[in-house]
Amino acid sequence: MKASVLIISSLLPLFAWTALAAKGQPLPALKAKHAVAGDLTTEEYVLENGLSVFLTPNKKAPNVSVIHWVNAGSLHESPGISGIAHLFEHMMFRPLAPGEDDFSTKLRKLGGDYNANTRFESTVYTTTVPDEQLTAVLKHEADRFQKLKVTKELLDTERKAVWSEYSTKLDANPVFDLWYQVYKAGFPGHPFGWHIVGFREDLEKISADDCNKFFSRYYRPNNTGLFIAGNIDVKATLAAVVANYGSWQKGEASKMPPAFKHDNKFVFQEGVLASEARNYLIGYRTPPLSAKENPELAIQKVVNHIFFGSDYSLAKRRFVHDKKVASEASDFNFSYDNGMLRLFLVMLPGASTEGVVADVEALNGDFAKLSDEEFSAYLNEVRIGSAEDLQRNKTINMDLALHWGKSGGPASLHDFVAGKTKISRKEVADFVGAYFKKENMVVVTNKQEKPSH
Amino acid sequence: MKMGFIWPLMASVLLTAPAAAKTISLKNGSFLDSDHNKGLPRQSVIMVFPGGPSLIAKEHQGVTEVITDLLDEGPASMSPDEYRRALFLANAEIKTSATLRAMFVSVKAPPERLEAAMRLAAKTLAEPRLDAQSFKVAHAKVTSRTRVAFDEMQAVVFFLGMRRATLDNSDIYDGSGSPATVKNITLDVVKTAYEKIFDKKQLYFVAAGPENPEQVAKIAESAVLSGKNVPKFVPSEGRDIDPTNIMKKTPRDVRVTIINKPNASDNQILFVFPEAIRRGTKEDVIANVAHTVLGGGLAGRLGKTLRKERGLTYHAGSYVTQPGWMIYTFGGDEQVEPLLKGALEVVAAFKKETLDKTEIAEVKSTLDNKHRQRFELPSDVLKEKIRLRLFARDESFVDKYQDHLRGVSVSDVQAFAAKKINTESGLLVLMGDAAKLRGSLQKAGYSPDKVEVIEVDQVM
Repeated sequence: MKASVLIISSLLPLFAWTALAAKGQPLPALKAKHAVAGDLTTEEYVLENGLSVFLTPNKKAPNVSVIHWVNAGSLHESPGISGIAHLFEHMMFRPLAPGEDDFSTKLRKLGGDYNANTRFESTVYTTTVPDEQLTAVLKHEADRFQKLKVTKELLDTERKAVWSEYSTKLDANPVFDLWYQVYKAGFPGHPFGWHIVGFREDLEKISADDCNKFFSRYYRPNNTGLFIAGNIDVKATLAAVVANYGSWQKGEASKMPPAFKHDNKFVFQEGVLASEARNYLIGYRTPPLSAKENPELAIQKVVNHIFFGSDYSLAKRRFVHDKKVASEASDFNFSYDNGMLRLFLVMLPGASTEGVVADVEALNGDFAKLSDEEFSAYLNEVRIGSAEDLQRNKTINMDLALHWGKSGGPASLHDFVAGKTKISRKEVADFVGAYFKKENMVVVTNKQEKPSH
Repeated sequence: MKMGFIWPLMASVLLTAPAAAKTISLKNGSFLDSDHNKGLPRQSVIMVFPGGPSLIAKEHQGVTEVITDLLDEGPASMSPDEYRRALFLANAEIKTSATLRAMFVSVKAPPERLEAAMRLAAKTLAEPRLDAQSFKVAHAKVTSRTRVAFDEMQAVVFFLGMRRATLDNSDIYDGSGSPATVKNITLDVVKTAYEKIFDKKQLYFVAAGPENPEQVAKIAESAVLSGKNVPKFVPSEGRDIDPTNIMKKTPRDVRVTIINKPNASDNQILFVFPEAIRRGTKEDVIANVAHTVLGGGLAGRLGKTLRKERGLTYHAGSYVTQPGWMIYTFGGDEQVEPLLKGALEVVAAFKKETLDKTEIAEVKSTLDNKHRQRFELPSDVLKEKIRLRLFARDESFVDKYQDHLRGVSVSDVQAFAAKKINTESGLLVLMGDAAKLRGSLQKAGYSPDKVEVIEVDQVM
């Protein structure tokens, strides 16, 4: 008796959602299937309202990962309301109406955990719940993505939390300051040039009305990718998605701002915060990656890895091992950021900093001298590294979201990882030739504090 | 050493359900724990040397970082460039790292190159570059990186807080040093530390990857445990920090230390309260439930009150730690006093609160979800078992965790809160501008003559 009740009650949601979906809207046809990792595949659908849905059944996963990638970030802000994308992200965890539980409390009730972050081109919401709570969490997610209304009272409280974030990171941490400064110096007057957290004076002025307009403009299904991976039934999950998100109204598509026009002049400046350490953050401006416009994610990943990211990167070899002037030479925030490929250098105490720029330029020559064997070894590192990352449910789902958001779909890097597409040395060399030039370089270094030891 | 290049075919990687972890005995009495996961492209083997930073004096902490840098250069009989290049072309890695009570040497390589990589790791350990020139460069690197690390105020507060709270118990050393301790490190200190740390008699192995565990065991024996003078394995004695001993020595008061950072715009706040929580038992799980209700994220009492309702901070949380539990938060100058007062008010209210059955069930579900994520792969379990062994906790705790969690009742949590969430005795560490912090502390009720102020370069 108990077993049959259990079976019936577990099937009810499936039938209920399918029935609802059938009543309101038909289930969309499969748009594409993508191989992900090992025997996992992702099914891609697009709802009538433009919501892109990626479902990856992974029976080995102990839970379900739900990611919303919204194509709205700091690049979509206007002067005077910088920081609104990030501030709004905070508001997405607030109650939909006075007296209601907020999103974090609702998630707690389902045993879920959550996070979010705002980037240049996007805002990403990640939620993980036990398998049996998927339908419940989709309702909560769909509600907040469609019904949130920001009030002055809630905004004013949350603004203070953002101030706190600002002061502990941007105002207090010299490396954060370098991150901010390299974009500010590199993209003056362009949305890339104000930090994701925004200018302080703008943060104070953003109103609830501004937030609601931002929400209405950008939080639209045709600007959003919904990624669900884990122990799921594809048909039932798709039906639940349609039932919850099907009535979400399509809106105007997000547009990237016009490309930054720079004056082809090398930029060098000091940051605001001091450190006893001598750090450099050196960036080459690149075309921004976006789902629609730029398929270069795989190429950028390879370039970043060869020049900055590998344990045997050209930068490490030159600065740390050969010249012994740095304790660290690494890439910086590659997956998170956009618009620049960067090298982070921590110089040794007393090391000469003259010639740092010339040495960075010389990496291009080091690249040209790589043997074919070395080039292939770097490609191999990227492939193997990516494959090792794709072992966990949440990271698989995040990788899918990243590739959709930054390069139009999951196929690009996954095909590369699987060995189906080749990235040629010429493609990499062309990219380096186009963007790794001194006149495209931005260098920031922190103010020096007198050593106390 | 010849390492030909072979292109690993991702198409041939089979993602099958991993077999259960296996323990294989080795010739000298040591053992290998292995997760046979054909879904991984490379085989990894961790050599576990129990002891690590806990064997090193407080004033020399950071020496394991220097040793790591020296070992990254490869064996003395090979040029560093030849060493690095060989690993690169083989898509192999050999990395050394320090952790609580252990040092790891991790080898990762495609299966067909595992033996060569293990032999290279063994050769490096046998022939470390303990010469003056290599030391000078490694020491400079660690000095530089430590300065960067100490730019992060949170890192400094935790560094000092944990040491003071445990009365400088060496079992909380994770290998990181302060600028002051790194300055004390000499080549002789490195040599002495090296001998203590890389003693093979307690060495064992943990592996994960597509290679057959029996084969990995054979390679480990032949590459690392062969030749003359291989000691008989002596299992290391795990030990845990004894909070009752710390509690006896801690006065019934909250000692306050300010780490001065003049003109800081941000302030870090860390309370640490010693408490006898039996780690690795059901009580540990009850503690986790209680602290999630009190201080877990935005839905915990601390986050809800101090952030959501009052807007005082971006973060306020409570956590089980050694030797008890802690509250961590941060804020601007105007927020320090209300945060100090507010945090303790929230705790006091929580202790008196009648907890709701539904809420406890929800928190348990959250912790269950997190546990599932944290231990998604069998190799995650194997790595956790290393830690459990080092701290003499029940090795099956990971497997029993969910059962323990299911068994936690409202009255368990209520009783725990009443008995083991106390704030009368402990440590408060702040970092920021000392002149301003003194004022905030006084307003919050802390006696100014009981406040110790130290400079960053005194942090040890």
